[in-house]
Amino acid sequence: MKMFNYIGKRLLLMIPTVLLISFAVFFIIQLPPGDYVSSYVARMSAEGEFFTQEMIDAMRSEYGLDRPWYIQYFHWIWGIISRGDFGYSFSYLRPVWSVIMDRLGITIGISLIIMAFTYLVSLPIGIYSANHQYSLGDYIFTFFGFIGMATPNFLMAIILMYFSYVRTGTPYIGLFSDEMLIHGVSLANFGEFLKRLTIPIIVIGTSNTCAVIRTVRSQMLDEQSKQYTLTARSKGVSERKITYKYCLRSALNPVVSGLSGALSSIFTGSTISAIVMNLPIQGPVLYTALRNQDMYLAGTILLVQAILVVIGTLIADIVLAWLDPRIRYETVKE
Amino acid sequence: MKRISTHVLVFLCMLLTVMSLSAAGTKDASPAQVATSSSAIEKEAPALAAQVKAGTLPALADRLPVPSDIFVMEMESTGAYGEAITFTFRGKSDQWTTGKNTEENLFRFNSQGLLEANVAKGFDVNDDATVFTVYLREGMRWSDGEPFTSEDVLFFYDHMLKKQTFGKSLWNCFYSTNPVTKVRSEAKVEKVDDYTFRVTFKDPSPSFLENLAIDGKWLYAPKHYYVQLLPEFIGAEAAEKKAKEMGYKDATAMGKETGYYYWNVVGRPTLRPWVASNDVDSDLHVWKRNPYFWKTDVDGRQLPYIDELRYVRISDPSQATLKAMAGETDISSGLDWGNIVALKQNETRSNYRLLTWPSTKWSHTATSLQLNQTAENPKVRALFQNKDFRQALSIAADREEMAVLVADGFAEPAQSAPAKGALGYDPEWSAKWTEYNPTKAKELLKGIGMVMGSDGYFRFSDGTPFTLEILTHDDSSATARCAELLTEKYFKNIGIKATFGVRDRSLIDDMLVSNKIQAIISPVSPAETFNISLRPDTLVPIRNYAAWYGAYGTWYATEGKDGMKPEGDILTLINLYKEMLGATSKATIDEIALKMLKLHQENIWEIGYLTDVPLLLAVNNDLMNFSESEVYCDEFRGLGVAQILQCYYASDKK
Repeated sequence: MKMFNYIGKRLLLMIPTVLLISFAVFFIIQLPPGDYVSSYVARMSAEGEFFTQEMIDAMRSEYGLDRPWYIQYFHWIWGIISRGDFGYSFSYLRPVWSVIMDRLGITIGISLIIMAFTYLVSLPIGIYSANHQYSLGDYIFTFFGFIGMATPNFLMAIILMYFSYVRTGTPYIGLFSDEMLIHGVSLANFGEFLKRLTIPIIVIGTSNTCAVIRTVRSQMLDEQSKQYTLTARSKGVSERKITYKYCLRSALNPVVSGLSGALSSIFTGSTISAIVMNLPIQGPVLYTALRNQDMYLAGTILLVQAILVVIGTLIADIVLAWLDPRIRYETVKE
Repeated sequence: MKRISTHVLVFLCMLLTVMSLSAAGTKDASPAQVATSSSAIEKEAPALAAQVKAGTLPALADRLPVPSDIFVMEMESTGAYGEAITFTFRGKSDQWTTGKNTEENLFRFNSQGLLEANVAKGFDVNDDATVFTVYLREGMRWSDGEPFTSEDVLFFYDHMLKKQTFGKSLWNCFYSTNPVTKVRSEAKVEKVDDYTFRVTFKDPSPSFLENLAIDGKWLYAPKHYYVQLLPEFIGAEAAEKKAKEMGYKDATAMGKETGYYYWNVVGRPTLRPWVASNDVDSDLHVWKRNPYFWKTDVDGRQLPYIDELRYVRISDPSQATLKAMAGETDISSGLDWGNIVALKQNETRSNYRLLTWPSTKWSHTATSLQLNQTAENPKVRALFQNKDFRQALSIAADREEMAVLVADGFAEPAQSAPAKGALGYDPEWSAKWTEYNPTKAKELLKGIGMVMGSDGYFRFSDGTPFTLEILTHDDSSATARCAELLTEKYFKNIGIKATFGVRDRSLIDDMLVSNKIQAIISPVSPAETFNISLRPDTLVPIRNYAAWYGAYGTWYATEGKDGMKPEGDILTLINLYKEMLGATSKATIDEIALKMLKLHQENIWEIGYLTDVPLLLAVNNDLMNFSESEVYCDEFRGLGVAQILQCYYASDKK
């Protein structure tokens, strides 16, 4: 019962939080001088199109950009609440949601794979590092982890793409080769597809890996120096049981907290690395929308991200409560 | 833990499979046909011939216009059918690229800049250039097989252009100006018969067809398609519904997208050699052969030779370079000269050749300096309007050094002037104020009345300090190098304090509109002419477009209500332009054009330091009939002037 109340309260709190975030986001998006029409006119003029002042004014009123921004915001939010209508994208001239749906599948797919890679790789390494502290293996993993964290993602992407091109002669730009774009991905070129997936996984995955490795390592070391570990060892409990059943469970506490942002990052994927590697995910769409001041598209993506962050935090808290009984009992005591 | 990892692994594998199979593009492009030895006698592409045999497509003779009206294209060599040309592009923002590559205008410019009939078969014009009779091609068809007649021309003019269904108002070319009263009147467009129409002007309009080729490009639209789409025919409500069905915001958006950027719309009939077969925002945008295309080669074989155009989406220009180097694209244009070494190194390995196409810009964009002749501050404005000040800035720079440092030696020292071969080219002009003479520059500044301050910089005669604020939106390394040389070295050397800043494009545009710019380097609209009488926008202040004439343009566009009233030579320039609009013969127009260019030569309103570098292209070695060199400009429709429809692959190679 208490759990339901707690979740219910959190969900109710979510509404004003998200509204506030969306308001701030909308305000910031329209801050740069000019608006979508001015940047559109500038871009098309450079291509040889000509616009008279009347055309520009007509475009503005057509897009509703001649109204003050808070009015635009209000209409937009009202549309969402009353009709589930997230507005139209000026660049794509389509409903915002259809633009987002276009890339949603692949974004979520890639993000999940990368996330899985991150944790599948970093947890075992973290545990190994903790159990074999100051060994050669520990130092090597730490070294590579720090390099991954220190190097900017996009730079690593460029370096890896360069080396792969020099060695194989095929530039790994994007997830799909021209062949795959024409004929689709089948079992025949699946190997090629996996090859192309390697660089995005390494680039985007390694930056988080280090953080998780270091966190798990230090938490594990912490736990292993505690009283109960010594007791368990003297009782004759196997090392494996101590590590995985007892120590790891406490060590996972900060890792699970870190998952709160995961939901929203799954939705967007990375941005700069995606542009460099030409990945067809949501990040570059948001980036272009912000640059062009495509208000409703950018606003919607950020709004969804805000909601996902709040939900993610809630889920992380619940998982944490399940993982760590101490939290559960503390709440009950109150 | 182990069991969980196994479960996760299995889940991941399934996820991978599902994701890739669903998202990897269901673009079903049929594999390209390879030409066989018997293709020499085939008059149409094998795929089309197969369809004719199966009865799903009319015979070739029924698809082409009547034999006397077929557009027969002469080319270097006739080729074989098949294959595809691959390009890179940025998605919808590159729609003009995909559009210009395949445009078929009513009239167009050939490589020498002369007007020629394209979709039109020919024309007659009366002696005083008031009546133009245009002949179309009998039997010509749209890409869906429906006949193309003058009805389509009239429909476009009456129901789309005049009714402004696609967001543009009636093009300038349809107005004539009375040379005496300066009154503008609209032309009358009427049908003569199914394949002839007539345009009648009140006053002589000798450049009508040239202007049409620039403003109008196409002057036709498929009537049978639009009568079931436009609000005028189906009612406002039904139009809104149709728009939503097609995925557009409303009928206005639908009108614009299908009417103006129509080549993106799948299913909209066109006259182009290829038609878009999928959404322009796809990872791979494919254009497929138009079975009703109305041109053939000299052997009577229907064009185009190539089956498909493929546009692969990239997100960064460097990816275009990389793909070109790897040989994955067949035609890449606009490559960065900074990568010339890498591009040259891969020429043999990846089987391409590098071509250069001259541009019409007056100077290398990165070295193009525009001083706002309508600068807000009156002292600064007076300074900029003073020819001697501009000369001082021009001779302060060592152009030889700049050629090496800014353009790696690929450009040459020159003043901002029409390139060789363009109207108004004058070697004296290209060499004007190009000496490197800082001493003389200082003399000129003193002569203007500026006084040297204690800090080593010139001030206004009343002692107030002066800083030349140069801005740009272009963050390329060439611009940065040029700006650094100018502000930190040359201008400093002659005692002019100058600053340089990069700003976001939207901010610059905003400042331009509100006339807050002082000086711009690497402007969005650099001075360029293909022909000043047809496209004067960068050289004559007719609207708020270029940084150097800012508010003068606004004054003209608003007919004196806003902006700054021009004086002196600029006023002469504008008056010449008005005179040109009302000119009655081509000879007069050319005369006035030369006078306008002379004014520019006198004043050097836009200072330039280097010639422009040509356009750099990488073309697949096996691609035949691709022009080695053409002038690259918007009037020639970019790559369109190369007529890609005549290209083919040398057999048994690709």
